[in-house]
Amino acid sequence: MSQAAVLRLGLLGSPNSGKTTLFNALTGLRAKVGNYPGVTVERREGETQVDGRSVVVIDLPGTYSLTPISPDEAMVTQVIEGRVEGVEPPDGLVVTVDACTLDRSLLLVAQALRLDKPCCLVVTMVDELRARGGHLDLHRLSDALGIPVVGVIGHRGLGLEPLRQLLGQPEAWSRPPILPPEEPAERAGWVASVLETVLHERPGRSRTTDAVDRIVLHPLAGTLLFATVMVLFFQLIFAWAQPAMDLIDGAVATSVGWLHATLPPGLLTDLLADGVLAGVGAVIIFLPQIVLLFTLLYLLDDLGYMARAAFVVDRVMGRVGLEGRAFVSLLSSYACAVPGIMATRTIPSPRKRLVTILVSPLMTCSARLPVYALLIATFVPATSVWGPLGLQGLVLLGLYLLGATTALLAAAVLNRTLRAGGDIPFTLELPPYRVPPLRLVVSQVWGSASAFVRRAGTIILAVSIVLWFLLSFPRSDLPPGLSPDEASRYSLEHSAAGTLGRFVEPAIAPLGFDWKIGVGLVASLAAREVIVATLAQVYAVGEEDAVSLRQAIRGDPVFDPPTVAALLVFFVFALQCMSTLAVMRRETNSWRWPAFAFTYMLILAYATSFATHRIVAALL
Amino acid sequence: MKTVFNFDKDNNAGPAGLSIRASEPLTALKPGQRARIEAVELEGPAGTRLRDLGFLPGTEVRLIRRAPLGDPAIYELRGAQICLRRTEARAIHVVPLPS
Repeated sequence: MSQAAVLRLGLLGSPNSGKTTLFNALTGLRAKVGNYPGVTVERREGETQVDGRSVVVIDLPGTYSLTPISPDEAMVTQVIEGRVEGVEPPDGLVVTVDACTLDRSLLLVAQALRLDKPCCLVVTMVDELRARGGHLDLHRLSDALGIPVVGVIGHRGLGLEPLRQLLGQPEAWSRPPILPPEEPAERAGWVASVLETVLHERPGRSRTTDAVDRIVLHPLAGTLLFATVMVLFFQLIFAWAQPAMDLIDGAVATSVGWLHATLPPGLLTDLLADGVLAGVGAVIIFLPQIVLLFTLLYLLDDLGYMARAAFVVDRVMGRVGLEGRAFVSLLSSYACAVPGIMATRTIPSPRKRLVTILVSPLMTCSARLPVYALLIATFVPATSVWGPLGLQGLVLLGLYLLGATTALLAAAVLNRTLRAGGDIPFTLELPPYRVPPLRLVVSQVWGSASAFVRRAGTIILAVSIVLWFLLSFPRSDLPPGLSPDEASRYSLEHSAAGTLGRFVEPAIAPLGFDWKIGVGLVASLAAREVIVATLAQVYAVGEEDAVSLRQAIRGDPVFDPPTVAALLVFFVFALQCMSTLAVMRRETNSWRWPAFAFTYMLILAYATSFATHRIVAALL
Repeated sequence: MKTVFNFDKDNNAGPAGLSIRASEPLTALKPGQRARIEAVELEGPAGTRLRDLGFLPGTEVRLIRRAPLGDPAIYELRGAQICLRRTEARAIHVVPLPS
C-alpha cells in the first residue's frame, strides 16, 4: 500500500448529533483547538492512525444545514469547498446523525450528498433508539442513500472499529447513483420515502426525558431548580475557586521572593520576578475559575440541562434583546468577566453574542470588591439602617444593583444601535437527557483552558510586563535615609506611571481625583484590586497593613465624601481590566470591540462620576 | 384564523377533493395538541432556519409546553424537541389534528 499524503476527513453533523463525542473517541486529547483565520469560529482538528495511515479529522462546527445563516455555518461550507486560506479541504465527509432524530437529520444528509465529495454516514445513539422501541435497518439505509453506513454507540466505543476500517479509504466509498432533490419541500418528500424503507418502527418519546422534564420544566419547581443551579454557578466561581486562587497567589509570591533572594539584586532580577513571574501569575490565577465554570457548564450542557435553563429564562433576557443562553455569561461575570465572556461561545447569534460580551464587564466582578471594601469600610459609617441591615451593606448592594441594571440597559441600547454582526432568530434544540462520558467533559474543559492560556494569556503577560516598566521606570537615585516604604513611594512617584498620574490630573480633577488616585487608576489597568496596593505604596504604608492605609486615606483631604462617592461609581463602570480586554480581543478576533468597550465604559464612568461628585457636593 | 384552500386528495371532505380547512398559527395550539404544518410564511434567515429544523409543509408537530413566563414554547417534530419564540412560531401555519 502506498503511503499517500495525510488524509483529511470532515465531521459534519447538527448540534447534539454525537459529533463531538465521536471526534473525541477518534482523536482523544490530541485535538488542536484554534480559530479559523480571520474569524471567531472555533477550529478543531485531531489526528488518528488507521492501518498505519495518518488521518486528520476536522470537527466542523455543528450545523443544521448547508444553507448558512451564521458565521459558524458559513465556515462549514467554506472549509468543505476549500475556500478557506491555509485550510486544506477534506478528502471526504463523515456525516453524523442521531438515530432518534433521523427524520430531521436526513435533511442535512440530503444536502451533503449533493456536494461533490465521498460521504459516509455514522448513525449514533443506536442503543437509545432501540431502548425507545425504534427499529432502524442500517443495511437498507446504506442501500437507500448509496453510501456506507455505520452504527456506533460513541461513549462505549461500540462500532468504532468498523468505522476506523472504513475511514482509511474514502476513495472506495460508494457514491449515490441519484442525488437527492435540492428544493427544501422536495427534500422533505425524499426524506419521507427513505424513512419508509429503513425505519420499521419509529422510536417512542424518551420516558426518562419526559419524566425529568415534568419537574425540570415545571413552572414552579423548574424555576426553583433554575435559581438553585445559577446560585451554584455563582458560588463556584465566587467562593469555591478562592482556595485555589489563594494557593496560586501564595505560590507566585513565594517564587517572586525566592527569585529576589537567589539572584543577584539588579534590574534583570526585578524584571524576571516582578515583571515576568508576576505576569505569569496574573494569567494562571484565572485558571481555577475557568476550569470550574467550564466543568459545570459542559457537564450540564452535555447532560441536556443548559438548553432547559435557557428555555426557562429566555423571556427575561428577550426583554433586553438578549437570549436565554446569555444568562450564564452575565451571572458568571459577577465573579469574573473573563470566564463569563468565554462562556458566550454557546450563543449562536453573532449580534446577541457581541452584545453579551460588551455588557458582561458591567456586572460587579469580584476584583471590584477589595476596592469597594476599602472605600466603604473607611468612609461609610457602620450604622444600622433597619435592624441588622447596615448602611455599609446597603451601599455595597447599591453598587451591585447599579452595575447589573446598567448592564441590562446597555444591552437594550447596544442591541438597537449596533449594526455589526448579523442576528439570527432564537431557536433551541432540547436534546434528551444523556449522561456524558467523563472524557468528553475533560477534553472540552482542557480545550477551553489551554485556548485561554495561549491566546488571552500571552496578551495579559505582555501587558503585565509593560505595566511593570511604567511603574518602575525611569529609575531615580533615592535620597538617603528613607525607610523601605518611603523608598518605594519615592520611586513610584518618579516613575512613568507617577508622571502619567500627574499628567492626567487636570482631566480627572473635575471628579475630585488627584494624581495619587491617577497613579492608582493607571496601575489598576492590570486588575482593579491593584489600586489598593498602589495606594498603599503612594501613602508609604505597608501593603499588608489595611488599618494604616485606611488611616492614611482618611487623613488625606482629597478623599472627601463627593470624591469617595465618585471613585466608587467610577469603579462600577470603568473597564479597568486588561485581562477582560485580552479575552474580548480573543473572542471577537479584533481589537475593535475591546477598544469600543473600554471607551464606552470610560465615558460612562467619567460622566456618572462627575455627576455623582456634583450631586453629593450639592447635598452636603 | 385564516382559511386555506387545499387541493389534497387523501384529505376527504368537500366535493371534488377540495377541502376547506381552518389553519391557525402554531402559537394557538394547546399543550399536548398535534397539528400538521401547512405553510411557513417567513422569509430571510429566520425562514431558512425554521425549514432547516424541519418545519416544512406536511410535517407533524406537537406543542409540548410553554416556558414558565408563557414564551418561548417547546415543539416536537421529526423526533426532536425544538424551542421557538412566539415571534417565529406565529409565522408557521398549522391545521390541528384530532387527538
